Amino acid sequence: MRKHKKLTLGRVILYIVAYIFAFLWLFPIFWMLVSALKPVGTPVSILSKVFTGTFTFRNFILVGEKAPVWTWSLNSLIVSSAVTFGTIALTSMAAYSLSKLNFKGRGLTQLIITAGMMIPIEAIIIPLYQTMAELNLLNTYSGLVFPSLAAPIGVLIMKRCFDSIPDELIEASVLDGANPFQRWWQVCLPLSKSSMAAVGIFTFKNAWNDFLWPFLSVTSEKMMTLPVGIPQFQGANLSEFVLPMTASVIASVPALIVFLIFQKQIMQGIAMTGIKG
Amino acid sequence: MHFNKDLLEEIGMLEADGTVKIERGEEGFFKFFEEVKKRAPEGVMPISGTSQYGLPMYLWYTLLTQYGGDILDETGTKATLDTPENKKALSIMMRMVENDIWPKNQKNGAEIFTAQKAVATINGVWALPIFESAEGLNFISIPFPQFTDTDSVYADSHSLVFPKNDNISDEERKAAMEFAVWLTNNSAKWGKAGHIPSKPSVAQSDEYQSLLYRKDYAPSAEYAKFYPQSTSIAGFTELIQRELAAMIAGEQDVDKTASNLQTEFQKLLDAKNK
Amino acid sequence: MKGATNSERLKNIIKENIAAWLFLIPYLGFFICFLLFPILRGMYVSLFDAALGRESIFVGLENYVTIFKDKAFWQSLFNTLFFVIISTPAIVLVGFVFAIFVNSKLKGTTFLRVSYFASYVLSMAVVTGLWIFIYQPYTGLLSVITNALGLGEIYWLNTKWLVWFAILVTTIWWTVGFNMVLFLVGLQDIPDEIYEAAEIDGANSRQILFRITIPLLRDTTVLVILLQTISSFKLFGQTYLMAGGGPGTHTRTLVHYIYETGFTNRRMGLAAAMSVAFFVVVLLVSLLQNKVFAKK
Repeated sequence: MRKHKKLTLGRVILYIVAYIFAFLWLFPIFWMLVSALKPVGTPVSILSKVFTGTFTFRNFILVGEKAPVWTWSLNSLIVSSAVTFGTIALTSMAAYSLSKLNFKGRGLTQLIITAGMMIPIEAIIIPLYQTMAELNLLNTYSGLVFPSLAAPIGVLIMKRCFDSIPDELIEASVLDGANPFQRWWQVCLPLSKSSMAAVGIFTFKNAWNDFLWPFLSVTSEKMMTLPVGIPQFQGANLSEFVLPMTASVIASVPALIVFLIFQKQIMQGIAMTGIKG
Repeated sequence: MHFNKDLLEEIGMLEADGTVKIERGEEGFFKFFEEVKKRAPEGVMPISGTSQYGLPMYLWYTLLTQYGGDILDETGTKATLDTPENKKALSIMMRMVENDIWPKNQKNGAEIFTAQKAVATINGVWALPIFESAEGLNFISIPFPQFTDTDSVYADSHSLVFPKNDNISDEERKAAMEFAVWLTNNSAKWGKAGHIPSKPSVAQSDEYQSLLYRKDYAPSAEYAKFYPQSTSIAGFTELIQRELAAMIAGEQDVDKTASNLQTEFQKLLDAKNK
Repeated sequence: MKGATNSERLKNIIKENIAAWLFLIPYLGFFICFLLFPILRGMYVSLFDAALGRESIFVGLENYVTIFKDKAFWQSLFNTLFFVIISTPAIVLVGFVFAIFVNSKLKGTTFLRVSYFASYVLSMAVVTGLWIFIYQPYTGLLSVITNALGLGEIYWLNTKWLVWFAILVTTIWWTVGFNMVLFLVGLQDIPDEIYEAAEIDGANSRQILFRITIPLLRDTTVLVILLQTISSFKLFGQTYLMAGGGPGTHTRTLVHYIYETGFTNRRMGLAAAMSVAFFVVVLLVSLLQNKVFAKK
C-alpha cells in the first residue's frame, strides 16, 4: 500500500490543478442547484445575485403549474424502471442460456447478438419509427420501453458473469435434481448480484437520460419524459432563467442521488461496458 | 411590437396620451429607433428579439409581404425568393442588425425585455402572459410597424384538422364538428394566452375586448398574411429559419441568403411535385 | 450420469434445447423486432421513394445516387468527421488526465472523482440547457465575464468555428467521466510493485508516467479511443439543441441531417438510405481502427 507521498513542488502543482478542475467541473451543477432556489426573475448570470439574497422552494410548485413537469418525472420513472427491470430479467435469462446451456445454434445466436452491438440506434430511427407507428405504439409507454430492451450489451455483461461461475456448482445442483430454471434461479442469479446491480444502475441512468428515441416517438406532451420535455419548457419560457433551472434540477436530482449512493455500481457498469472485447 | 412604457418615458419618447408614435415607412421606422438608440441608458438595447428560430421568420415574412413579395408563385411550384422584394426585406433586417438597433445573436428576446434591458421587443402575441406576470414591467403593445403602403403582418393560426378516416361513424363526425364550432365560438378565453379569435363576432365580444392590450393589436388581424398553402411549408420553415439565423449572425450577406433560399426551396418543391 | 440410457440422454438433450430457447426467446424477441428487423427494413426502405401521403415507388439505388450528389449530405458528413477528429483526442486526453489525478493518492480523492464524474449522470437536456445559459450573449454567464473584462460580447454559438469549440467544451464537460472511469480501471490494474521497483531504481514521476504508465495503458487507451470515436460520430443533441445545426448548416451533423430529411421533410426513403450510409461509415471506421490498433 502506497502511503500519501511527500509534498514536492510537482505534487503541489498537481493538487492545485486537480482541484481547480474539480471546482470548474462542479460549478455548473452547483450553480444550477442554487439558481433553482431563487425567486423567479432573478438574473441568474449575475453570480452575486445568485449566491446572496433570498431563497425559496416555491419554484418547484410554480414549475408544475407551467408545464406537466411532474407528469414528465413520473413518465421518466415508469419508463426507466420498466427498462431496468426488463433488461435485468431478459438479459440474465438470455445470458444464462448462452453461457450454461448447450443447444443447437448457440454459437450463431451469440454471434448475431454480438453483431447487434454494432448497430447504433441512430442508424435505425427511421425504420424503428415506421415499425412503431404501424404497431400503434407511438406515444405509449411500451413504445418508449421496447427498443431499449433490445440492447445487446447487457447480455454480454451477464454472460461474462455467468461464465465465471464454476461448472462444478451447476453440476452439483444437477445431481440434486435441479432443472434448468432452478439452476438459473437458485445458483446463478444469487452469484451474480453485483453484475446485475451494475447492469441495473447503469441501465437506469441511461434510460432516465435517454433523449433521441423519446424525442422522436413522443409528440404528446403528457407522454413526454424529462429529457424531452425540458428543452420544450426552456424554449417556451425564454423569458427568464430560474424556472428552467428548476426544471433541470427536478430532472437531475434523482440521477445525482442514485449516483452518489451507487457510485461503485455505475463505475462497475462502465468498466464492464469496456471489457466487451 | 411591445414597448417598455417606463423606459420610453425616461428617454422622453412616450406620447402625451401614453402611446408610441412611429412614422409609417422605412425611414420613419429607423428615424424613431436611431433616436431611441441615442437616448437609451447604458446596457439597454433599442429592440430585443430572439435572433434564431421563429422570430426572425415572422419579421421577415411581414416585411416581405409588406413589400409585395411572397415565397411561391400562383402555381405553387416555383419559389419566388431571389427577388428584389425579398432582398429589400432581408436588407431592412440587416440594417436593423448592423446599426445595433436589433443587436445580433440574441437567444432570448423576451427575457431581455422583461429584464428591462430593451426599450422595445418584437414578439408574438403569446408573449403577453409572460409580460403581464413580469413584476415591475409596464408595457404597451402596438401592431407591427408598416413600412409601405401595403398593410401586412405575419400570422399563423391553430387549425383544427379532421383527418380522413372512413372508420368513424357519422355521429362521431358530427360530434367532432360540434366541438370545433364550440371551440371557435368560445375562443375569447383563448385570448388570455394572447391569441386573436378567428371569428370576428367573438373578437368584438365584450369578453375578449375586456382583456387588456389584446384589443390594441387585434385590428392587425384584418391584414394578417398567412403562408401560402403548400405541403413544403414545414421544410421551408426549417430552411428560412436557418438562413435568417446565419445572415443575422453575419455569416452571409443578403444576396447569398436570397439565392440560397431560392435554390433550396425550389429543391424542396421539386421533390414534392415529382 | 449413472445409469442413463441413450434414449434418456436424448430426452435430456431435447429438454435442454427447449429450456435454452425458452430462456432466450424473450430477449431475442425484442432484439429481433427492435434492432435486427429495423436495420434490415431500413435497407429495404432505402430502395424506395417513400414520402408521406403517397405510395412508395421502387427506385432501386436511386436514393444512393441522390445522396452521392447531395452537397448537404457531404457537408454533414464532413461536419461529423470534423467533430470526431477534434473531439476524440481531446476527450480521451482529458479523461486520461483526470484518471491520473484521481489515481494519484491525493487527499480528497473521492471528492475529485465525484466532481469529475457527476456531470456524466445528467441528461442531455439539462446539460445543453445549462450551457446555453452560460454561452448566451447579453444575459449569459460568460457574457457577464467577457463584458467585465472589456471584451464585449462573444457570440459563442453563432460564430463559425468558435461554435465547434463551444460544443466541444460542453461535450468534454459532460462525457469525460466515462473515459476517466475506463482509464481508472486500467490504472488500477497496474500492480503497485512495478511502481515501487521503478522508484527504487530512482525514476522520477515524469519517467514513471511516460515510460511505465502510458505504455501499460495501451489496451485501455485503444478501447477508449474506439468508443469515443463512435460516440462522437453520433453527435446530434448538442449541436441541434444548442446551435440549431448552425450558424446556417455549419454544425449540422449526419444524424441531424437524417433526422431533418426523414422527420421534417418526410422523405423516408432518402433518410433510410442516409442511415445505411451512416451505419456503413461507422462500421468501416470501427473496423479500420481495429486493424490499426491490432496487437503487433
